[in-house]
Amino acid sequence: METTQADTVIGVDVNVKGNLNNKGSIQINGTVEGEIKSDENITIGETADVSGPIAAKNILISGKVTGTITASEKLEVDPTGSISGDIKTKTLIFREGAVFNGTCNMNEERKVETEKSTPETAGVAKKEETQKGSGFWDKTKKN
Amino acid sequence: MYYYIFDIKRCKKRATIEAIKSALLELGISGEYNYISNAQSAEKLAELGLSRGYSTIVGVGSDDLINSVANRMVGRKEAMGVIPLEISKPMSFLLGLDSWREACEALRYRRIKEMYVGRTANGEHFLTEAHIDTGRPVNLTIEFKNYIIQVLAKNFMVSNYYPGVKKVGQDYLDVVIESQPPAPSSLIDQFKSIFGTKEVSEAKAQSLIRARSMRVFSKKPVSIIAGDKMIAKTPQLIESSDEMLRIIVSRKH
Repeated sequence: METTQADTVIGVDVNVKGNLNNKGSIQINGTVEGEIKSDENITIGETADVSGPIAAKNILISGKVTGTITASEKLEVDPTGSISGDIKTKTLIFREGAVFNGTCNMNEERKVETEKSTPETAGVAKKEETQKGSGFWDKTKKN
Repeated sequence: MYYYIFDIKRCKKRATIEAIKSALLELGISGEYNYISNAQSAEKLAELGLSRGYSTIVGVGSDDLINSVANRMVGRKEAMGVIPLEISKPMSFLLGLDSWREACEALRYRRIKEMYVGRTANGEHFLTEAHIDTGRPVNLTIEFKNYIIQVLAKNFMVSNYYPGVKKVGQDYLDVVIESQPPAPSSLIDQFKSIFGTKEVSEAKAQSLIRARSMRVFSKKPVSIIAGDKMIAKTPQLIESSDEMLRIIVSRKH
């Protein structure tokens, strides 16, 4: 029998009920009802159907997912991918044809930073932004 | 202090036994020679050897004999040796031994490897792999620590060591399943299966799961085979052994 690179592989026509928790990479081609969690990468194949939350460093979706997706680094959704649920990630790539129903949160860390920053520094940042903005429009007007 | 257990069925030529014995004598590692029979199983002989105080129990034969001797050697301080006769490729890779001549030299060099092995709840051990082989797909439910798998399996193998399968941990077993698509129920599904629109690649039908233990269930009891021997029937607990086996491997291993 051949083997693939992922540490755990769930093949087509295999049904899983429960929580898949792994340090290494996980690849799903079958059906999963429950949580999937990995410290590395998770690949949801074209034939996969997942109902439950997914969390990993990098996630690639080519199949159907119903549940919350948390990718600490990157989430990629292929044209065959379909997501019904909320997304939380730093980097998001949606390819044409992908389906997404839910909310997306990409700047939680930045929000926390803004809340922590003092009103003075926040004010400086705003001022700089405004100045930059006006400069651009000024140039445009001159042209 | 070597105690040898010969599987006489694997020594088709009497000359092979004599050649092995004279090689052992030449290397200075001859000892007590025993032969398995209906009255004396490999386990019984291994137990006898241990009770007599031998420090090395050597199985001379194939995978069945090696696994049977291991049944009594796991968790012991005494070492187990192997002189292979018609062993499987995975076993040959695991021990780094191809021929009985090479094995005799390895016994003399005495490079010991400590390893976990697979075992079933009825106390049968396997060094390389155990599988279900019914010749036709079988519905299996496999219960792991945090999840359950249901599959119509064409092939099901639990391996402690298998060439090409990289282990994630020494005390982990690798479960390899080849699934079969369920029989089409509706007319549309039947049509799709005939014209191949639902066909999936063989690689996608394979599952690989790492676990320390699992319970395997099936509607009707099916045999679990290691080597050529039926070691257990479903429902069955298959797990990695708690204790290690001290086994002599090739000096180059």
